[in-house]
Amino acid sequence: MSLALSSVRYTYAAGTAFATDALAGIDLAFEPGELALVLGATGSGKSTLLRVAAGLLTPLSGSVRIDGRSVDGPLAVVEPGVGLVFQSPEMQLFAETVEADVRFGPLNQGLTEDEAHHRATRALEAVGLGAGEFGSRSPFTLSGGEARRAAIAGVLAMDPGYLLLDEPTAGLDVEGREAVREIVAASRRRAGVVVVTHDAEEFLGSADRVILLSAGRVTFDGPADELVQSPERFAEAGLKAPEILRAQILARDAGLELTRLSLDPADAGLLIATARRGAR
Amino acid sequence: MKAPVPFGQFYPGDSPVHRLEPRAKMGLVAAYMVMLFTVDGFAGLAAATAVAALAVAVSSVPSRLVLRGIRAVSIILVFTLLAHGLRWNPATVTLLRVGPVALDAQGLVTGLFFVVRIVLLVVGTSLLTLTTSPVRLADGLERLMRPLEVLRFPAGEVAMMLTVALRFIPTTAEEAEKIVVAQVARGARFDTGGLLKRARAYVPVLVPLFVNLFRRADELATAMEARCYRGGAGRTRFTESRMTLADRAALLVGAALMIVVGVVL
Repeated sequence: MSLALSSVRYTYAAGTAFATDALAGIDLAFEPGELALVLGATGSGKSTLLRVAAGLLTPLSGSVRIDGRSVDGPLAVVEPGVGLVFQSPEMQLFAETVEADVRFGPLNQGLTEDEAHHRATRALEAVGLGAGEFGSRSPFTLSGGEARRAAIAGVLAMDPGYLLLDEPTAGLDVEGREAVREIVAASRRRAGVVVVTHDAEEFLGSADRVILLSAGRVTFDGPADELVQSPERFAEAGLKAPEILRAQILARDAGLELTRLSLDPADAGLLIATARRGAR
Repeated sequence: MKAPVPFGQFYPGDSPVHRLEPRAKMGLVAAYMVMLFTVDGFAGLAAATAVAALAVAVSSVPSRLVLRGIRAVSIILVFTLLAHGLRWNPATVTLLRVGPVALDAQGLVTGLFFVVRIVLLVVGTSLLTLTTSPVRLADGLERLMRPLEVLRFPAGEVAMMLTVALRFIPTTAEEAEKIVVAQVARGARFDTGGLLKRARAYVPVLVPLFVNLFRRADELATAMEARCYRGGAGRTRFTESRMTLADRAALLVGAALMIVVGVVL
């Protein structure tokens, strides 16, 4: 059981003067129930990776297999499907009501109106927008954070076996980011979740596994803690390490002997205090 | 990661046709049109074909691109030819007869004349947009409209509208593509069913596209006002294109020749 990409290569405008390599041989498998975080700088191929994994782009070579089957075309409508939440997904809201918009995906999957309605209600509850209060509203009257959540509900309602999210917290306020983080954490109970972002701060603490992408290649694939212990890898991938790690690196540079690095502020404080005591 | 998308019709180059000042080029195209509509025989069309062929050759734009515009009007061409060629129950001898419908040789020749005229029209105007960047085209139009300001025509405003519209064509195309892919990811299909079903399938694309466009237009207007935009009158351009002596000469000689050919042939 997995969503597996093997030796996937993708080039935009292949065969023309504008050809740009986006993915240069990717081997990755995402498991159900896992929260995988794909980190990469702008232009590293993150969004292309998601589009290929969702069957929206056909790789130039290599294959995408879902639970061992290879599928041609968008994977949204197969079973178990792949749901893709694009960057700024609120841009794709179109229906007269929030509920009707969320129903769009399930109806395209061939569900009946009743089933789709049921799915929509459940998905809206899952993102914290009560169907009673928000269901009948126009999506264009929602706040930025609410619209983002409604758009995510539109994908959750399709009950995907794998949920892919592209920069899900970009452009949201603190409250909106927190809500999206909660939705992502809760979703992994029902699906394999892959979050793609350039912002290491947001999901590093909750991810089971981190993948670093650089110029269309995987440069790191392992548990978050392994990456945390070797923070120089962030810079190698053209990324900024989380502030909390940078503080500990500065402490190390200042001569403190930290036994390890931590993402948890309380833990990090304790590590620095212990190191200072040892230094005296 | 985004690959650069070649935008619009423009085919960059450095030929004399590319370098010709946009106003001169538009004037020449106008004269070319006058020639096309004043000639009344195939000799005139042959002369116009020679002019078009010469311009295309000098422009170094691949003829494949120049002829691409013809595909868009192919239905009109077929219709034109048949409208002249087909006769209902004619009394005289005809080429071919199927029941009451007949194909008439004289009619076909007339139809061919109009078909060639349309093809030449498309080739000439295509060459203008292929060899002139949208910005230079807008610039040229503005300069042409400027004298109308005397009649209180808002030439500056129209020019600004043109420039802004051109600026947002690639952005809008990119956004449309994003929304299409996003809806496909939600299981939307745009390639199945009859015409009506297909048209309806585009509602989930067009609604958000227009909502976003209006929102962006509103934001852009506010941003422009925040930078003290107070209407287009009296505005200048960073780069003003100027008619050189060569441009003027090309316009005068070229236009005069074409009009004379049009009247004589």
